[in-house]
This record gives sequence, structure tokens and C-alpha cells, in this order.
Amino acid sequence: MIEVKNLTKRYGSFTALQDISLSVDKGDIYGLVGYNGAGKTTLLKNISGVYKPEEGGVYYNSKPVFDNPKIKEKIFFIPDDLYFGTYANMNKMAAFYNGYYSKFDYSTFKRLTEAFGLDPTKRINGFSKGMQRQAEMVLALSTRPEVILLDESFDGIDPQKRILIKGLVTEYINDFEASVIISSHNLTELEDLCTDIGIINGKKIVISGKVSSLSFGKSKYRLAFNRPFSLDEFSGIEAQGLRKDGQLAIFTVMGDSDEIQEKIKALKPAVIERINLSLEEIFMEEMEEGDYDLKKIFS
Amino acid sequence: MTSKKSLAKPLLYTFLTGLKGPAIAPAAINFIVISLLVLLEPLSTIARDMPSMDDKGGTIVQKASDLYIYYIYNIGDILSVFLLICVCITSLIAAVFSFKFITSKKTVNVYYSLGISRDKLFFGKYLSGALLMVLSIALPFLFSFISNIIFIGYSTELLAAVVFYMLSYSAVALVVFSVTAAAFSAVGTLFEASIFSAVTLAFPTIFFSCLQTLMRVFLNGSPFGASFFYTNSADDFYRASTEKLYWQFDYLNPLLFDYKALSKWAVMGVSRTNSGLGFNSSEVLSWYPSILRSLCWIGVSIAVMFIGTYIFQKRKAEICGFIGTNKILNSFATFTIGFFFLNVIIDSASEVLSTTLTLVIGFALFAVLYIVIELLLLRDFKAFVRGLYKLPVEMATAGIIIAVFMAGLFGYSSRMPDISDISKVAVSAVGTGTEYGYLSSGGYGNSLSASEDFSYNSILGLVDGFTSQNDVKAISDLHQRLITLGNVDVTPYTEKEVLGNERILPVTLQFVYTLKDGRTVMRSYDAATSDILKAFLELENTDLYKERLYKVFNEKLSDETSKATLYEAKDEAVLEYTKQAIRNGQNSISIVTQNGLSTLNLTLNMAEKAELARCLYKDLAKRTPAQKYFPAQNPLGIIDFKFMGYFSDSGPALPYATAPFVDSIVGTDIVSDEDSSSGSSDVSDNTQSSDDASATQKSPLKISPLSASASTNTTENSTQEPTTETTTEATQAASPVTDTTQTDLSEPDTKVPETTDPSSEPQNGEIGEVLDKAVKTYSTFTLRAYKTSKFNEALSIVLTHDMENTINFLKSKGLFEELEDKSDYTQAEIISTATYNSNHEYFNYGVNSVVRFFCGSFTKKPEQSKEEYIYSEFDQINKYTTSSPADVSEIFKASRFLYYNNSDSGYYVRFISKDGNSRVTMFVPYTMLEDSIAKKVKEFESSNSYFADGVIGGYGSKYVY
Repeated sequence: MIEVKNLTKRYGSFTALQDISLSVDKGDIYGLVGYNGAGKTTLLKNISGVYKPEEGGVYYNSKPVFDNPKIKEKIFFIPDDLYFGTYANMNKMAAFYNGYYSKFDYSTFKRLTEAFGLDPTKRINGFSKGMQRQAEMVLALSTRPEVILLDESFDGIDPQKRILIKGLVTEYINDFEASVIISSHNLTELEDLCTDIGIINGKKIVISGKVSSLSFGKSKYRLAFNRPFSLDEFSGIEAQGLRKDGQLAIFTVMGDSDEIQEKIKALKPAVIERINLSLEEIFMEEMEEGDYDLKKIFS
Repeated sequence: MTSKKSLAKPLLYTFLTGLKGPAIAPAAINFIVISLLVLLEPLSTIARDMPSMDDKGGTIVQKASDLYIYYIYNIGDILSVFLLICVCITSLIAAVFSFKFITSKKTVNVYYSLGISRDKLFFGKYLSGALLMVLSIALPFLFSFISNIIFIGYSTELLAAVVFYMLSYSAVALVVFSVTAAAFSAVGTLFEASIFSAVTLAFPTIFFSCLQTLMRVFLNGSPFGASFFYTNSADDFYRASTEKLYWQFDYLNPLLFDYKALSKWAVMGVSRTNSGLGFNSSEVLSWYPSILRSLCWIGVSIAVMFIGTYIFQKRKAEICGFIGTNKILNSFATFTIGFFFLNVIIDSASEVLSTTLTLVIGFALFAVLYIVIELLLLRDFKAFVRGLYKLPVEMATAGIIIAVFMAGLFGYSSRMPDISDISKVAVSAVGTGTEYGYLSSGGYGNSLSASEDFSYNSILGLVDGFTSQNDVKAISDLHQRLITLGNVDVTPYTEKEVLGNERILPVTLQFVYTLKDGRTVMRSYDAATSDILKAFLELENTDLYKERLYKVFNEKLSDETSKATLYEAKDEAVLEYTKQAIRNGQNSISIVTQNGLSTLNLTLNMAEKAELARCLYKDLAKRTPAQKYFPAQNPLGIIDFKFMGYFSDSGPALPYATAPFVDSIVGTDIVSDEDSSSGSSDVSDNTQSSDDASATQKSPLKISPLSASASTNTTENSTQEPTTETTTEATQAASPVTDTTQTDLSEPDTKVPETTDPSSEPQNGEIGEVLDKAVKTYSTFTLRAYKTSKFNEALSIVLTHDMENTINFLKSKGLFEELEDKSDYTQAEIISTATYNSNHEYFNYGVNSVVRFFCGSFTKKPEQSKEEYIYSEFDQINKYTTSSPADVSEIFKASRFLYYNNSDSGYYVRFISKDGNSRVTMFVPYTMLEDSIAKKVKEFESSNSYFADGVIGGYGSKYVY
């Protein structure tokens, strides 16, 4: 299990991450969401052992990751900015990772290369960006890691290959009980893949938990009135994002207590509709509380 | 593809991939370059037979094995330097290629996330790159070793040399590689890593250069010496001490620790004395090249590697790609470079500018360099401004360092060993000392003769061996005077009005104390007053000088010639040469006349030569430095002794080493070789011999036919004697003579013998028989007093009027009248030394010594055309000229052909004879020139420019240099 404990990372006087804690269990796919520059990549580099945190630490099965080759051998980090040797092809890169990962499996390498339709003898730097990401994914899975760290790894991959990768990752998780931490600024890419979501905002993880439970923390209501009403009538309810749309009132509330239900019923709406929040809506709700450019996040 | 599981060994894999990595390119270049130089050229030499001339002029074919013990590369070229540079550059590039991965975010993401610890990652990369560099060096030398065995044969010398070269160049490569690797660990960019490693590698050179400059310029009494041409010391310390500080401490330099040795051991000839070799024969016989320094520096490389590993472990990956992240190294680079150039300014400008102005310029340059380097390293103006506070801090640090040196380095400059702790002293002498067995300028000096008008002789150099309490005390007193004088600036030549003892003269004065516990204390001073210089002349009154004079005239002559060259000659060889030149029967003796216009070549028989030597010894033993250097009357001339062939690099060797001949010249020794101890006490015999020149004639020394053939005017007596019998007789007959010439040195002044009877007729009393036919050879521009031959082998003794024994001898031979200058001078041209010096700068071949001993010269012989002396400086300058017979006579009386010139204290004067054929230049001390004439000279010089109309500068003028 990957565990990040009270991690703080500074670049000189600038604090990039502050007191971050999270944990990822075996079989989990943890989606790390945040706007560009929020610290997703910094967090992944700390988890992978590239960076050393100023405070706190990263542990795998309770053992520190930083400069621990035995642990790092179980982790594969696919960064956003991929590196291949200048004249390297996939075979050469396979040989390279084979030198450092004792579990590197050539049969997996071959199978996945064929599945993606990649030519292992061609220069990787001649591949398109999407193909390079596929190639890196093939190499990563061939090392049989117990933890895969993916930084914006679906960028530039066409939908068909994206589905293929997602399928492969899911299959790999199931087969090997591995964990995946995947970062993205695009929530829709993670929605159907992740079991867990962490939202990173303002140097901190602001929301972290199972996707299945995350959305139930908040409830969205739509009330239809057959009488004139004003928003002032909602003062007794701690409604977020309250707005009036004709005869409709739309708002979100934390939790789903009987007390809230009673307060809502007391307003005597004609219809009460309670809706589960999507991940995107949760993300937007969080971000709206900050002063962020949402267009960038969902671009 | 079948499934195969990896058995990854990350360290091994990193190492193996490193061997195939980009570092192979610089290693390959290094391999190719070294192979070309140590294989191709040597093979073309040793793989073929070489024709050469035999002794009879015929052609013989020699194999490489006939000529060489081994041949690694041709040291005649600058290959060792080129190879060193090549190794340094390729090693630096190899390190750059091996470690540049940590300056890129892409590669750092991959490598730092791999299953390998950082120390193993660093070590694997280091090991592969270092091994490639070592192999690129070792393999060519290994091939050279094999080819030498094939074509020349195995020898332990070959093995030792090959091992030396392998280790030496490998150590350099490893140091450069290690430092660069460590620098990469500490910074974020390739640019910084390259800059910092270069500065770090150059730091020892920079440090010692700066230290030397600060000591030389600011410290009164620097602890390293000047470049003396000559030292009589056989101790290499004195020679080494004259080197630049970074050469003295080259063993601390990561690039230059074996530099001197690299060009030494590349070739060894069969004879081991091949002049083409880079070392002299004594070294070859005594030493194999030392690998100690190489091993030490390999050890340092390993230490640096561990430091680099530690830094690599602690390195923050996020700095990659960012410049200016290491503030410590930034400050190290800016300060080191800034301080170095500040010292360059101090070194070069302090001679011509005031200290204040020099420092202002130096610190301004420091600031400019700081700004440029800091901007280059930061590439961020705001960050630069934020860090600007470091500039005054660094400048203040530099200022404090300089102030410490100016203040005497915590009492360092005034430290003088206690006299009771001193066992021996060496000190620079400011006079001339050929009569004491010292060769001025070590045979190659005296190239400072500025023109035919004004000629100078360099000071003697460092004289070693003062051991008596009296001598040590005298030298300590001199040292104390310099300490008391303090760190003073030399008076510029342009300041003409500062005269006498007020003037601070540029001169290198050095003291080397060897203490009883074996330690050495050295202090060197580069300025003194004329009073202090005069006090240094009193060194010729020391016990050491008296002992040397005694040896020159009394110690037994050696039977062998010197194996050394004149340049290599050290104390004993020079002393022996002096003895031979004065006392060997095959010497040649000549006298330069008072005006320098003529040389009289004397042809004396053995008895006469012995008598002349005796007279000289008596005169020199009692002559004071004041009489020698500040003669009350114009010296009579110079007597030159020469003995060609003694040194291996001078004229043709004389066959005097054959047995009969040796026997014959033994008789010319003043001291009997059979009983030197008894001779030293018989003063009465000595007096008897000296008193009576006829005693010499009654028992004339016989010379062999061989030697007689060399002397054309020897007596019939001597030439008719059978060789073998005569030799025996001569030796026997010589005994009483030689015994009597043994002077008791313990009381030289009280036992002055009576002068030779001038009335006694010499054996060849007629002038025509004493002088050969070419008696008057007119001289050219060459200095006569101290440079009478190409190799400066002439031992010249100034004939002053106090030398009554010698003068009487010359009178007895009818020579005295020949010496006096009886020319009819009708015109005198005169210029003050102050004016002359203010318009000149002197040649300085790395010698900080002042040239002091003025020696007059002359410009024309009768048959010369006018064009031959057109470059005479006097012809190009405005000088006060007088044709007044009274004035010319007055100036002539005050003139000295030879005089110790304090550079600021007199006049140069050229006399023109009536017929215009004789143009003699002399020196007039200030105090001796009549006031009215001095006034006229001053008025003339104040109203006239130095150069004559149409002349823009001449030979010797500052405008030419």
C-alpha cells in the first residue's frame, strides 16, 4: 500500500505541496485531479522517489520509497514528459528497463507491443506523441510494477487507444493486485476508470476518497413550485449554489439528513427531486470555492 | 518470443551501458591522439635502421637498440604538453557526457525513479567513464611497451617509464573526470558544471599565482626567490626556489603535478648522456621516474569521487535545468575569477602605477567580472539584484586579504632566524666575483649590454656557504637593514630629481638561512637604497670570500676537465675552472687597456705566469671592496684569464689530461701538491720568492714540448728540455717556488709581501717578446671586462692602482705604459645618468636584479667605416658637448672606466679623440665632476629634449621596447 504522510515539498522559498496525506490500497486506481500547476506532478515525483520531500514521506508497505531501490523496483513512473534515448527503439528501451527491473517480462512486452500495433524496431522519437505514450505504457506494464504512476498519460491518445489502455490497466490491476495513481486535469478521463479520487487544490488534497462515496457527501436538489417564491425562503437551509430558474429552485446541500428533508418539505414545493452529483460537479463545486479558471480544468 | 525473466543487476547494468555510452567518443579521440603520438612517430623511428656518420666520416647503419634503451615518444616536440591538454579536455568531455543526464528533467525523471540507489547510479556512471579514459591512455602506452620490446628489447627502465606515463596521464584524467562529475552533482546545468569544474581544477594554479603576486608586491621580504642566473649552490633548493610559486608547489596542482617529468622520461639513449634527452646524465643514473605523485593524485580522485557520490545522494532533483542554484559555488567562482584578475592587475600594473591606482583599477575589474559572471550564472536580473549584496562582501574579503599582506602577514615579513639557530646562509651578492671562483651570470648572462655606449654587468647571483659566526652575523645585519627599510616603492626612473640615498633602487636581494634543525627560511627583497647596496659589497670581506680567494690561488689543481657544461656548472666546477684559468700553464692571459680600446695578449712562460698569480693573490687579498668598486683613480685596465676547453660546451678541449702533460702543469700550481700543509706556514719563503723575481728565473718552471708548441715565445731553455726528464725536474724545481707562494690567509693584511723588483729583468723582458705580434687587437662593441668570450669564460680582474704587486710585475715586463690611456681627446659629450635612465627601460629576462657595475666601452676602431657605429646612442641624443681643453681634461680626470654605478649617481661621458677614431665612454660619479661643468650639463638637459631632432627612438630606448 502506498501511503503519503504529511508530505511537504518546497522549491526554495516556494511551497508546492503542504502537509499532503493520502493512501492507495492494492487494486485501487487513484485519480489525482487538479488544475494545471496545482502540484499533481510534484506529488507523483515525490511518490516515485524522484524528489525528496522536505517534510513527511512516502511509504510503500510501510517502507520509505526515497532512494530505496528495492521498493522503487516495484514502482514505475510514467512522466508527462517522456524520455527515450536519442536513437532508441522499443527493443532498446526494453533492454534498458530489463537492466533495472528484475521482473521485466519480454512476453508481456511482445504481447502488448502487438496489441498496440507498435513496431519495436523503429525509433521511438519518430513516433507520434500518442504512440510514444502507448510505447511507454507497454514498457511500464512489462516491468510488472506493483505501483504505476501515470502523469497525464492519456494526453494525445486517440479515444480507441485510450479505451484500450484503460482496459489494459484495469486488467493489470485485477491480475496483479497492483495500484495505480493517475493524474489528470481532465476529470472526465478519470471518471470511468478510478476507484478513488483526490482533488488537489491550494497545495493540499482537499477531497480524497472512494468515487462511490465521494458524490454522496453532497446532494443536489431541484424543487418545482406552483406558487411564486423567493430565494429568501431558503435561508434556513445551508444551500450552496442556490439559483432560481423560473418556477424551479436548484441548490446543493451537504449530507442528506432528515432535518434537511424536513426543511425542504416545509417550503411546500410541488415537486422535490434529489439528484446524485457527478464527479465533474463535485470537482466544480470545490473549485468554485476557490478562485480558479475552470475553463482550463475542463479544457 | 519466449518469456525470459530479467535478473537485473542495476549497478552492473549502469556500468556496462556507460561503457557503450557517449563517453566513448572523447575516450576514442584521446586514444587516437595518444596512439598517433606514442606509436606512429616512434615506430617510424625505431622500426628502421638509421644511417649515421662514424668517427672517420664514413656511413654506418645503426639499429634502434644501438641507440636507445627505449623510445616512447619524441620529447623534442611539445608532445607532452599537447598530450596533457588533450587528456584534460577529453576527460572533461567524458565526464560531461557521463553525467549530463542529471541536468535534464526528462532523464532525471527516469533515472531517479529506477530501481537503483543514487550512489550506485553515480558510481556506475563514474566507473564506466573513468575506465574508458584510463583505457584510452593505458592501451597506447601498452602497445608502445610491446613495440619497444620488439624493436629495442625489454629493460626495467622501459617498464618503469611506461608505468610512469600510464599512471601520470591516467591520474590527470581521473582528477579531471572526478572533479567534473562532482561538479555535476552539485549544480543544475551543464554550463555551470563545466565552469565550476574548470575553476576548481585551475584553483591551485590561481591560488599560488595570487599568493606569489601578493607576496612579491605587498610583502616586504617574500618567501620565494627571484630568477638568478647564477648560484654557486649545489643544492637544488636554491634553483627550485627561484621558480614561480605554482611550480614550486606543482605537486599540489591536479593538472601540473607531473608536468615537468612528462617531458623527461620519454626517451632514454643507450649512452644515457644523449644531449637530446630531456634530463641530464646524473638524473638518469640516479633516478627512475617517480610514480608517487600519480598514486597520490589517483587517491585524491577516489576521494573526490566519494565526495561527488555524497553530493549526488543529497542532490535535489528539482534543480536540474535551473541555473544559479548553488550559491556557494557561484560565490566561489565569482570570487576566484575576480580575485585572480585583481592579482593580474596588481602583478602587471604595480611596477608602473602607484599602489592606490593599481588597486582601484584592480577592484574595478573585480566588480565588472563579478557582474558578468553572476549574470551569466543567474540569467535573472531580479535574482542578480537580490544577490548584489555579495559583491561588496567579496570585494571586502579581497581587500582584507590584501591588507593582511600589506601589513606584513602577521609579522611574517620581519621574521629573522636567531643567529644561534643558523648553520648556513646563502645571500645574493651585488658585486662581481670572478676572482673568488664565481662566474658572473652563470656563463649566459651579461646580455644586458644596452648599447655600445653604456654597458652593464649583472650582479653575481646567489652565493651559498656562509657558515662562520662572523659571516652569519654580517649577513643578518644586512637583512635587518632591509627589514628596517620596510616595504618601499622603487623610485621611478622618471623621477630624475631624487638622488643619492633617497632613491629606492630596484634590486633583488635574497637570504636563504639553513637552520641547524634542517629547516630553511628564505626571504627576498626587491628594493634597496644605494647605502644598503654598498653594504652588500662588503660581503667580499667575509671569511667565505677570503677562503675562496685562497682556494683559487692555492688549492691543488684537478687533473680532469669538467663533465658538465658551463651552464650546468655548479660551485666546485666553477671554482676549479677559476683555478685552472689563472694557474694552468695552458691558459691564455690578456690585458684590456685603460680606455678599452686595445687588448694585449700576453705570452708568459710558466715562471712568469706563476709570478703574476702570486702578485695578484697578494693584491687581491688586501684589496677592499671600496678600492675595487669605487676606485679613487681610473683603473688601469682589466686582466683576463681564460682556459678554453674546460667545460664540455666551450671551445676545443686541450689535451692536457694526458699523463706527461698533467705532470708538467702540476708544476704551475702555486701550492705543492705534495705538501700543501707545510707551505701554508712558510711566510719567509713566500716573501723571499716575491721579493726576488730572479728566484723564479733561477728555477724556471719547465714546460713540455706539447705545451711549448702552444706558446710561441717560450724560452729556449724550456723548449729544449726533454719532456720526461724536464717534467720531473720541473716538479722538483717548482717545489721551493710553490711553497714560498703559500700565503698565510689568517693574516692577509699584515703579511703583504714586498713588491716585485721592477728593475729585475724578466726572462723575456722585451715587450716584443712578451706580447705576441697581434698585440693590439681593436675591440668591437663587446664588453671587455666581463664578456670577453662567447661563453663568458674569461675571468676578469680589474686592475686598480692599489694593486702594487701586480703593477710592479707589469712594469717589470714593460707592460704598464701600454695600459694608460694617452689618447688626445678633444671633445667630451656628457649626459647625466638620471636623464639617461628616465628615457630608458632595461631588458628584463625574468631577472629582477639590478645591473650595477658600469663598464666603459668604445665604439670605433681605426679602419671601421662610420656606418658601423651609426647606432651609437650618443649620436642620437641631445647631450652636453664641450671642446674646451680645460673642461675635457677636467672631465677626463673625473672619469672611471670601471665603477660601481648606483644608477642615479653620475654621468656617462664619451670622449672623442682628435682624429675621431677613438670614442671612449666612461662614467663620472656625481661627486667627482666639477660643479661648473655639472651646472652646464643640468642647464643643457633642462632646455633640450632627450632625442636629437629627427630621431624617434633608438636601440635601447624605451620607445623601442
